[in-house]
Amino acid sequence: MTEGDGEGEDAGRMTKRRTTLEDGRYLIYFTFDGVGEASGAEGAAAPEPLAEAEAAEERDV
Amino acid sequence: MSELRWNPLLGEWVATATHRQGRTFLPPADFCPLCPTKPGGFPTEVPEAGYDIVVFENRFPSLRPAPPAPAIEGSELYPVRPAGGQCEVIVYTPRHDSTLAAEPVEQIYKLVRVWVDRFRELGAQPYADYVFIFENKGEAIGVTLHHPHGQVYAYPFVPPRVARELAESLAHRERTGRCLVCDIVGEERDDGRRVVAENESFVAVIPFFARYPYEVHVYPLRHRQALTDMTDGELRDLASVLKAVISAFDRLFDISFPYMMVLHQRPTDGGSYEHYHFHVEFYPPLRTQAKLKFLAGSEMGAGMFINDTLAEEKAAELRSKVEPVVWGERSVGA
Repeated sequence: MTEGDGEGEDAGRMTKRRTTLEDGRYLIYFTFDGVGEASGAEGAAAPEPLAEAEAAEERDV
Repeated sequence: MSELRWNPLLGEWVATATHRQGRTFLPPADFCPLCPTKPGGFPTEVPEAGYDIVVFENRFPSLRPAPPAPAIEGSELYPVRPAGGQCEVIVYTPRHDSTLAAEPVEQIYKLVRVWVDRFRELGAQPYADYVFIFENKGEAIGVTLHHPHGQVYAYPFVPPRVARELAESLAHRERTGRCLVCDIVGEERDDGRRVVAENESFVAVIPFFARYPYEVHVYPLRHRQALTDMTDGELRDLASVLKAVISAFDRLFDISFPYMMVLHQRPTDGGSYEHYHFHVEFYPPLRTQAKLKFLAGSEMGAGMFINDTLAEEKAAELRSKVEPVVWGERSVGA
C-alpha cells in the first residue's frame, strides 16, 4: 500500500508501504520526499533560550 | 498469557504479560533485532533496508487486537478482561548507533509525521480508546534494545494518569472558563524562569510543579488536543523544540541522557475533549551525572514526589545548554 498522509505538498510526501511478516504481524515502511528544506520551518525552528514574557494570543481558548 | 486484572483499591487495570519475560535483552550490536536485515545475515525484525522510519507490531505485546480469553476467572471484586489493544514499535532510523538527539531535525520531523499517522490509524480502531506514544531511552530506564526506537500502545480504556489530567482540565474549565494548560503556558511564560526553549508554536519548560529535576514539558502555544489538530508548520516546530530539548539534555553531562518521553493527547473513544490540551512530558531519571532519582517510599507508597532540586535552577542550567536548531544541516555531537 502506498499513500500520502494528506499534509499537502509543502509538508513533503510521506509514503507508507505495509507488509505482513511471516508470523502474521504487520510492518510498515515509511519513506519521505521533500521534507528537508520546505518552507514554513525556517525561523520558527530556532528556539530562543529565554522568551520575552508574553501570553499566547490564544491561551484563553 | 496476557489479561487485564482490575485493581479495586485504585480503580485501575493492570496488564499481565508473562510472555514478555523472554524478550531480547541487550543484544550485541551485530545481533540487533531492530537493524535492517543484512544480506546473508541473521533475520531481524526489519527484512528490508531503504526506509526512513519503520513501524511494526511488537513481537512481545502486552495488548493485542484479538487477545486470548483471560487465563483466570474473575469475580465481582476482581473483574478480568481480555488484554485488547495494540502495541507497536517505531524504529526511528536504520542507524544503530544513533539516538533521537543525534538525528537531524528533519528526521525528527519525519518521526512526528509518523506519530500523526499512527495516532490517526490506531485511534480509528474499535479497540482503541486511547493511543499512547512514548519512548524509553537508556539502560537507566530499563530499555532492552539500544537501537533508537519508541513505542505506541493503543489502550482499550483511558489510562489513569491521563484520566486524572482530563478531570483536572475539565474542573478548571468549569471553574474559570479557561483551558488549564493554556493557563500553565501563560503563567510559565509570564514568569520566564522555568522556560527552557521556545519557538513560534511551542514552549518547553521545567514546570513549577516538576517532580523530577530535569522534568521538561513541551506545550503548544495554541489550544490543540492532538497532533492531528496541528498544521504542518506546527509539526515542524514540534520537531525543532524536541531537538533543542533532547540535545540540551545530552550536553548537560556530555552523555547520552536517559529519559522517558510521553505524548499526552485526547482520547480516541469518541468523546468530546475540547477542554484538554496536548503536550509532551519528559521524565529523566538522573538528578546528577552519576545519581538516579529513585521512586521510593513516598513516591510509590503515597504518590507524593519529593524533588531535591528547584525547577528555576534546573531550568536555567538546561537553558544554558540549548542551541539553535537549524534545518537543512546534519546535526553533530551527541
